[in-house]
Amino acid sequence: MRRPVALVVDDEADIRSVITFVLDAAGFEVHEESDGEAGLVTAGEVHPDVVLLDWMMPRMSGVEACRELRRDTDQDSTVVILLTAKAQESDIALGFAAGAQDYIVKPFSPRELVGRVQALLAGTG
Amino acid sequence: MTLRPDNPIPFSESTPIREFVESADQAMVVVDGTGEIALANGLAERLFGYTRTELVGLPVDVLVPERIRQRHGDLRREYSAHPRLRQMGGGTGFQGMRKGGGEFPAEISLSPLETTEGTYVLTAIRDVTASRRADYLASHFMAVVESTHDAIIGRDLDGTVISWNPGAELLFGYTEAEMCGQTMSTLDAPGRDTSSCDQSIGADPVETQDTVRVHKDGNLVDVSITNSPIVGMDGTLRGSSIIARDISDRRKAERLKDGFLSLVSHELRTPLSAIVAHVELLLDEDLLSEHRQRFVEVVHRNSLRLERLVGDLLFVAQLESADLTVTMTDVDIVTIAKDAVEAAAPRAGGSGVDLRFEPGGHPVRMVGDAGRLGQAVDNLISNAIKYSPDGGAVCVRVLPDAAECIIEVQDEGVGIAFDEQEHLFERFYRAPTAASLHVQGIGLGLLIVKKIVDAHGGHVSVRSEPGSGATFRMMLPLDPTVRRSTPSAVPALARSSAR
Repeated sequence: MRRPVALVVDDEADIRSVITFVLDAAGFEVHEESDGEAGLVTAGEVHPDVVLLDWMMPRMSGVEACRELRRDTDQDSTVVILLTAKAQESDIALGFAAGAQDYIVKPFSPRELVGRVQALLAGTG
Repeated sequence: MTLRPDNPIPFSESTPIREFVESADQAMVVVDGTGEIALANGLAERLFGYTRTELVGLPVDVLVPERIRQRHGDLRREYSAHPRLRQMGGGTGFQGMRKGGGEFPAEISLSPLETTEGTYVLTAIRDVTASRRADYLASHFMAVVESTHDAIIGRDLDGTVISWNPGAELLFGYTEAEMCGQTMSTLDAPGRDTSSCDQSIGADPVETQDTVRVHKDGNLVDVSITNSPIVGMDGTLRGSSIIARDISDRRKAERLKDGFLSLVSHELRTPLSAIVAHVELLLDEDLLSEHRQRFVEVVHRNSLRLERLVGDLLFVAQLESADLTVTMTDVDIVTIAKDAVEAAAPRAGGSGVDLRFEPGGHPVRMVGDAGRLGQAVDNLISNAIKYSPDGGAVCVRVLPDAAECIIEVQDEGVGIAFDEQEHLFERFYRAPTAASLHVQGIGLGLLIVKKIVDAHGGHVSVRSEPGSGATFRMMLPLDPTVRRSTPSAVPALARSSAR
């Protein structure tokens, strides 16, 4: 059986590595990128089940990357979660409007993050 | 009015002239050809403070202040030689004087009075203290309205603009002639809510609103508008006045501050997120020791980053309330720079940056605050590391001179566009390059460097070309208590604006 594929896009290496650590422990095949543009390229290659997107990143922001992913019909089944320090209600609304399925505010609990990822994937069947 | 000489004894009891003078609604005196008062009425008694008995026979010149008495006499004699009707209001600056010396501004009118006894002059005197005061206040208020930079706009009950001061012209671009007869909706910004307070006219109390209006040239202006009813002396509503103030600068500052706060929030949450996430994993007793070691290092690194950030914020917060205080002692700047380099070595290593130190030989003694100078050098090194590519070199040099010491930090990073360089030392400023690269930081590091260098009587400068790295220089006098009269001999570096 195929392992679920996760893509972690964040410009902070310490954040990427901790997410990778917990998702790997939960049985995911994890890919990492450090900006939105590179994230989109990798998403096109690995067709992830879930993408964890930071918002404020160089070159292309997480919200822009999320919109791009939503435009790509190949990625219809991909679950997108924004994981960001931007915590205002207007930001959260903007994130969902861009097509994210969930919005996690930093600082975050790695275990809760894994729980949310698994629940969302179970929901999409 | 010229009275006809129809009575041979003009001022005896019950003559028409006497009755006329007595019943007049202003102070009157009748003066004979020699300048003596022949008749005075009750209002003249009240105005000048003399009794009628005192006034009659008194030289009329006594009713003007001493200093103009001579000239008053000349004018009076000239008038007697060529008598004619002279109406009130023509005279300027005429002064009357009361018994006991009180002066008041007055207007007089004169009528020749032909009698069988000779020519008399009927003089009416009006105290214009109150109207002068009113004129003065009116012109004063006018000057206030004309001179202020705030827009002051008067409207009638229909909302039609009836007055438009130079401040309004400055703020909105329209002249008084263009706006009088118009309504405030001329200034509405398209697509904006027009239910603003400057549309209404009512007896409601003063309302103030910050909003946006359109200048004649089409640009939007941020304004604070206060609308107040104009109520007449009789209590009726006459219209409304609008005072509009340009708040573009305030708005710009607010936007800068908002941007700064959002940046601070992001910069604080990022290391905090790494700490919180890793600590949660560290609480797991089954964690392998190799992971445990790595996570502790992450927590440590991010704690230090957080500590630096909080330190910078507190430092700048303190600068807001007071000038930077420095404790001056005899220090060796080479040791200070060396310590800063050693402290930054792990960060440089972590970023793949080759950090070098060229101390230039001997210790360099100077008068300074060791802690602050170390902080300044450290900030420059941290910046250089942050903007360096992987494998890039950062070189720290101490270049002693006869009267000053130069500390130079050179990197091979992205560089700084020329038009960004002059803003580098401003509060909250982040170069667009930094923002687009999402380099860590909140735009305070160089401000702190500048404040520290300023407090040492030195200056900080930058030389850079985009794409080929940047060199920051702190030039510090060896003894800041000795003022230099000649400028530094270091050319070609753009200096920060403040000294």
